[in-house]
Amino acid sequence: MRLREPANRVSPRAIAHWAIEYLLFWGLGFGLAWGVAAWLGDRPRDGVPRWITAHVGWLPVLIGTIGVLTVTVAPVWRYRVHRWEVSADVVYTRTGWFSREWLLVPISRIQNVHTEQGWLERLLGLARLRVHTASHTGSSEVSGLRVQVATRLAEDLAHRAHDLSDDAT
Amino acid sequence: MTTPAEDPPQTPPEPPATPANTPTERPGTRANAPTERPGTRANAPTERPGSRVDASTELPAPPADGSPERPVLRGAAGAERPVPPADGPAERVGPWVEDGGEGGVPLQGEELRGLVVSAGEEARPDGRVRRLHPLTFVVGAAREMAALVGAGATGLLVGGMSTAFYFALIGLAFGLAWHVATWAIFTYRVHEDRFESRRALVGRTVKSIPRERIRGVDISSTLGHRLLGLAIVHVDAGADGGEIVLNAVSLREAERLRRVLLARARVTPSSGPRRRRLARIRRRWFLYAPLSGAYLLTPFALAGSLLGTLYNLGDDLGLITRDRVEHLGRDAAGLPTGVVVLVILLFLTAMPIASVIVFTLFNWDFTVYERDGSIVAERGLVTRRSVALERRRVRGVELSDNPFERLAGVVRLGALVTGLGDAAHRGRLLPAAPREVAVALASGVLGPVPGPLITHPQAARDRRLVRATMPPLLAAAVWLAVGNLWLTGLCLVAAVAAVPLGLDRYRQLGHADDGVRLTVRSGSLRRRQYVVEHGAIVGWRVRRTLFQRRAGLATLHAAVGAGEGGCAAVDMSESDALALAASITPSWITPFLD
Repeated sequence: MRLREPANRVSPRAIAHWAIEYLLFWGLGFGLAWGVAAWLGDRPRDGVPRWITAHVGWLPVLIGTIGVLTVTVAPVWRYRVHRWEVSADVVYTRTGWFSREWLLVPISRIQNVHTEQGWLERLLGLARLRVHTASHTGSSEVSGLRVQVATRLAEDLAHRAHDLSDDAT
Repeated sequence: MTTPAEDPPQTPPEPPATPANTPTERPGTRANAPTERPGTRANAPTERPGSRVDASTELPAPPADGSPERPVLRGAAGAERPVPPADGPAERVGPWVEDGGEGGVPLQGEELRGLVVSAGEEARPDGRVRRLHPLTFVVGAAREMAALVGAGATGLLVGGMSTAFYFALIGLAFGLAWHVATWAIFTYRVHEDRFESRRALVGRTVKSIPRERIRGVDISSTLGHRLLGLAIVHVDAGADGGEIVLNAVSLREAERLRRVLLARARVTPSSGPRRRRLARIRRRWFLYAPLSGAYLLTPFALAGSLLGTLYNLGDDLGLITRDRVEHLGRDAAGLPTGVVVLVILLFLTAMPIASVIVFTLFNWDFTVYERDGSIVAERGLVTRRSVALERRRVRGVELSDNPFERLAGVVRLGALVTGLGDAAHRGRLLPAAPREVAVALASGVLGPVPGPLITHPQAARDRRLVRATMPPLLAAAVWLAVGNLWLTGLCLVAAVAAVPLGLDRYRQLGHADDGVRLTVRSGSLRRRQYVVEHGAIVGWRVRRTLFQRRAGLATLHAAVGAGEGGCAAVDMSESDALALAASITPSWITPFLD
């Protein structure tokens, strides 16, 4: 017994979005690590244990490697995983990359739907859809949708949720 | 639950999603193919690149005929607002309307008179303006008075009639005046559809809770309140902190309010006894206190708060100087080892004793009873606390224990209540009780606990072991690479010690379902077993890491709008997890199975 894939992919532009996000994050991390390493240097310092100053040069290398791997691998991987589907009474999404999550939320239990855009998403014409239920565990977020799709989905879901919902708990 | 921060307040005033804007697609169709309709709202955002597109589509307002489930909240200005469904994340509307500022209509003279509660009133809303008990300012000021008198007396002893003492007296006078004024301007009333409190002098603050959304009415009293026959009433509306506190009303009025505010469920007058006791703590259960970690730490908390108070008081009076603190530090450092050991021993013996004392203070005569469709838990020796949980909002229970409590067969019981704030304290149904008593109470409150639990596959054991031993092993590897052999050894010892922990964590995994309720159990150092009604489940989340996928495992989260938001059946086999979810809510799962 397995769950099948949800029917729809997110927009391919989401790959660029995630890649830029990871790049910014890991770039910042690398910069900080490099700064710390350069500041501590290779020579002993007061108040800093010897083993730290001896090995601190590896920190930017480590962070850089992880960063490069993440930026190159994760966006594509995520794109292949991220899928969504809205059936007659259930919102079904699959998200994640290393760890995956399948989320099934019946429309009758939805309390609130909205779309969000950050600055990067606005540049790329993307939006994320948030579906809230009474429980945080049961609330889902699909990022990387095209603006039009997300807006329409949000309206549609809100209406259908209202038609079906009672107390939604 | 959304935090307010997630809801951008600068949401542009998008027109509410009226049926005219609804895409014509019917539920069956998938809304993936973006039909290009130039000029419709959907395309508008791309035409206005500068504007913030943040279409926050809330649930539309309920129909005007006003179903009883969705009351209309009438603000102080008379404007009608749709109330979002109970505990909705759409909490941005807020459970109450704050109406500060000038221009408030002053209360009518008639309303201001005749405020004292008469006895034996009907348990129904009457819309009368009421006021807190006149003695309120006494209990309100008691603490300040004690502090000020203490400070004044100390000042007198130390420095004679000093300026500080006069300041204390003036402070006291101001405090009393302030309390009297607060009492005079604060009123509350119960309407047919809402409970309202208002503070009106120049400006006006009106808090209003729709009665549909009242989750619990919580009566507590400090020592001062009890001496005067008063009580504090907390009227609670959901998890986002919407509450009205009445400090203080007479005990009879508190009981009346509770009856009125929780009577909404329209319980038919039951033929049975009105108040049925479900459980009561026994004296010897107080001895279970040292088994739980939290109560053991009380001596430290007490000592800390005592020292803090002394320090603050001393600092205020100028007794503490840098010189004296340094002197004290030197003295403490110079203490002979014997004294230090003695102090530590004293603390160690004090810990279990103090834990029993504190446990007794909090949980004295802990009684759970059922009344008028509510579960009421009363407890406390000095401060008596009584929490009423509306029965239909109790959607599950949680049994938790730690290894020591498991050895003694003791368990703590809590209720999972939709939209109850501070659920850990207020949902408590038994602080520590023999397992069979707790299970019996759980059955009384919710229904029989499903069992026996089904164990999870062998692969889950391997995963628990790896997860327990991996962190110390990794740390050991790092220390080895660095060359610190002593710490490497320590980490290796920790890794060995983690093996029985991992095995126990696997042993505790389990789930069961009896067609009405689902139960899952996990954890070792803090083991928790959740029992949840099927009807309370609002969604499913299946989570699989790369390692879980390789081992064919899945963690199934049942989302519940109560307690901590859900419960997880950790590391079930994938097909079992899906079969379990499908057996509980077939229509949500089966369309998506291969």
